[in-house]
Amino acid sequence: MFLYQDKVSFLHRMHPSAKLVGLVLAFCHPLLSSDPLYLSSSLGLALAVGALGRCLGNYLRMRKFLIPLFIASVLLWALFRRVGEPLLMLGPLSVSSESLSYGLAMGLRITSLLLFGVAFLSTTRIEELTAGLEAVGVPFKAGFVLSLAVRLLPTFAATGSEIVQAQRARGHDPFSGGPLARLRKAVPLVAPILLYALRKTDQLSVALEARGFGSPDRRPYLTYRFGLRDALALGVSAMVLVLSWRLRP
Amino acid sequence: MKAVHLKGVSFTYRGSGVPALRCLEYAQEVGEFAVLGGRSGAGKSTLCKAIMGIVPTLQRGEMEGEVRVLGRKIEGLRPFQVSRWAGLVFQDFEAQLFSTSVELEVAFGPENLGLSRGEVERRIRESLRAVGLEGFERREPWTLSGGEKQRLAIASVLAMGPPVLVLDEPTTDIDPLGREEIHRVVKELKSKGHTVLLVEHEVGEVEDADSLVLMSEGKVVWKGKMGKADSELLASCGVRPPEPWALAFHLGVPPLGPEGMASEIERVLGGRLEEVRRRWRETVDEGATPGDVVLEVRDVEYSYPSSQAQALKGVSLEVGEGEFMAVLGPNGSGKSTLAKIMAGLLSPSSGSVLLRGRPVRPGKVGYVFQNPDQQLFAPTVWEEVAFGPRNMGVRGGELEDSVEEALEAVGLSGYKDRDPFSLSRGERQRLAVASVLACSPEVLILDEPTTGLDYEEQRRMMEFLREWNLKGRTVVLITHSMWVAAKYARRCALLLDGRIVADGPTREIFSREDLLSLAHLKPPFVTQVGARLGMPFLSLDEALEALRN
Ligand SMILES: Nc1ncnc2c1ncn2[C@@H]1O[C@H](COP(=O)(O)OP(=O)(O)OP(=O)(O)O)[C@@H](O)[C@H]1O
Ligand SMILES: [Mg+2]
Repeated sequence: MFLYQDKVSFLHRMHPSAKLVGLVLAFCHPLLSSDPLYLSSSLGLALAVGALGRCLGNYLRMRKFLIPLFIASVLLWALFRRVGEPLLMLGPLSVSSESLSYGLAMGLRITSLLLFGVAFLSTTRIEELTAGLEAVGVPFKAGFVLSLAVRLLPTFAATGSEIVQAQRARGHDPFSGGPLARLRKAVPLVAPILLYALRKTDQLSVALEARGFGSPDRRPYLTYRFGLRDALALGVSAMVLVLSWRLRP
Repeated sequence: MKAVHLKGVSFTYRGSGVPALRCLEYAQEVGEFAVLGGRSGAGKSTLCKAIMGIVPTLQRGEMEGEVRVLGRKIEGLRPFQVSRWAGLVFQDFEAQLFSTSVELEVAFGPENLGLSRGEVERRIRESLRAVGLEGFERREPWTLSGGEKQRLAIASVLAMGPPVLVLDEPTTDIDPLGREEIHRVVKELKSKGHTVLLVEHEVGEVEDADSLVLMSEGKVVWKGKMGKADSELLASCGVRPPEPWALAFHLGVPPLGPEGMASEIERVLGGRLEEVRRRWRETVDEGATPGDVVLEVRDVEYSYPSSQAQALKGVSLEVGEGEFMAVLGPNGSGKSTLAKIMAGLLSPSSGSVLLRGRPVRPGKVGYVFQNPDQQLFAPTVWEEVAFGPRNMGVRGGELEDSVEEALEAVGLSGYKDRDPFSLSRGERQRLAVASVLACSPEVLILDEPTTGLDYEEQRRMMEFLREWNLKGRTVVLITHSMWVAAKYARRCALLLDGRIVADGPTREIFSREDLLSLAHLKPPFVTQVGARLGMPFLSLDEALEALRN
């Protein structure tokens, strides 16, 4: 998984199933209220979780994507949600203090949801996710097949960049010109990447079985014990959630 | 009971008109170490897959006959059931990696065998050590160099410890000493009672195997003791005769090691040695001195974004007009990285690359990737070759001409309308070269252009490059094949751990065995023998020519 960082932290050491449950709890938090002040506390929690997983660096790396998303969602909701007294009229569109606050809330909500997700992915290997799913009752084979798409992403990305390089070596420049020109230039890229993906998945199913995939005797190598750390993390998360629910505006 | 037994096996892949196996008979004893050779397309990989039950269960087609492994009939079993007794290292090693760390990749097989955690840990440790990947446990497989990936693929099957181990060309991308190491590991397994079937083009590298098997057109045409096959038989199956055998055969002496062979030759020649040496010195042609510098690499350093370690640690290099140069070095030493930087495809972290004094831009230096399949995408051979010149603004009659010329050069003129993916591996490789040639590059860089090709295809590729070079063009070649470098390159640079440790005329570099072994390399047998006689030959032909009478 391209976000995963091989480090040691509180979150890295948690039981993957506990982390999955924790993620669900964390996702609930920003959904409890639409008050911008309350949602700032969600964002604060997301930052705290990031610090626990030593993945604030990844948060920072995502800013190119998160900041525009935040601004876009604030603007969209502020402009299109028709509530309260208009403060400002822009032709058919209007902004009221209510819609502005709602826009802010939505921006905060989406950002904190994404950050919780980033924290999870930065601290959990795909193999651990599969193991976590298995521990909460998802059959290994199903979890594994689900994980394959994610496992293969970096390989596809690496192959994609090899293919781009091969074409650049033949004078093709996919990164110049306007958006339309770029789109047209992407065409010769699509075929080899798709062909590669098809070949790879085909060969992979064979390679997996040749190494015993599907055997009923399987014993997982990655095993986890539900420990104090996990109990603590889940306990605190649940408490925060219940308190937030009671105190939410 | 036989370890592997195929009786009258025929197999035709679905959608293909030609059978891959034709009424094949093959038997291998328990504990026997057999080496399998043959042309590309002879059916070697299909035989391997039939042993695992992959054909016809996962790759479908028409199957006849019976396959038994350790006495059990494979028919009707799933490959995962067969994997308890037999393991297969696939030829395409990239395709068998799917985990997010080296450790978990190796753990996957043993997990499926239901082994305890402690046992799995032990096997991970041992098999990574066997292939020389200690310390790589936490690396992500996709960030490994080509040879490192292949080593990992081997380790992931070794860890399962299958009683019958099948390896399909497992060392194509591994450096020479690494290959020896893998072959040693395989022999060790044999001595512990495992049965090994190894597909290998360079049969001379596994001389101490129990038996040699030769395949041709879907059949096993010969099986016998290693060393009983003569050069003619090998050549008729498209296998390069090992140099010690060929030399011994032509000189009429028993096959010996380099020391023994040299003293034998000395004994036979007696007083004439000095004369032979003098005549040899007159005939050796060290090649024209290179012209002006075309490509200059100055103090280049490079680190990949995903890692702290530097792949190149200050490399400087000048390539002269008309040179034929080889870059050699162990796996992970930075050869491919250097080549991509020279072609302007990666920008160095510091330092610069100049093409005729100006910063290099992609498209000016031709670069042929190791895997032709990542380079080909067009619907026809013609379109494939036309892609490059078109990008450079060539149109109309001029385009026709440059495509024509490039196809002619690699001997693919009659293939214009074929689908690139319907060509054989060797033809695809030549097409990849043609598609780069059509851009009229100033320098041509090739990353391991002979891997995955059989002997005849390798020779064809190299003869073509030699001809092209003789017209005054510049070639830079990356290779792990020592005979290829010795025979064709005029100059060699040794890369070790991101630095150039030696650079000079091929003959000079290849007569320094200590230096080469530092870089995990080993000169060809004839060079070793020749060096002991004061005549470091660079090819078998040269040796035979000098020692003819
Ligand atoms: N995409 C990547 N990300 C991080 N590290 C990489 C990447 N590709 C290569 N490396 C590392 O950089 C170093 C040099 O790699 P390079 O591919 O240049 O080696 P090479 O000499 O071509 O080896 P081989 O003979 O195995 O092909 C190695 O240590 C390798 O593990
Ligand atoms: Mg390489």
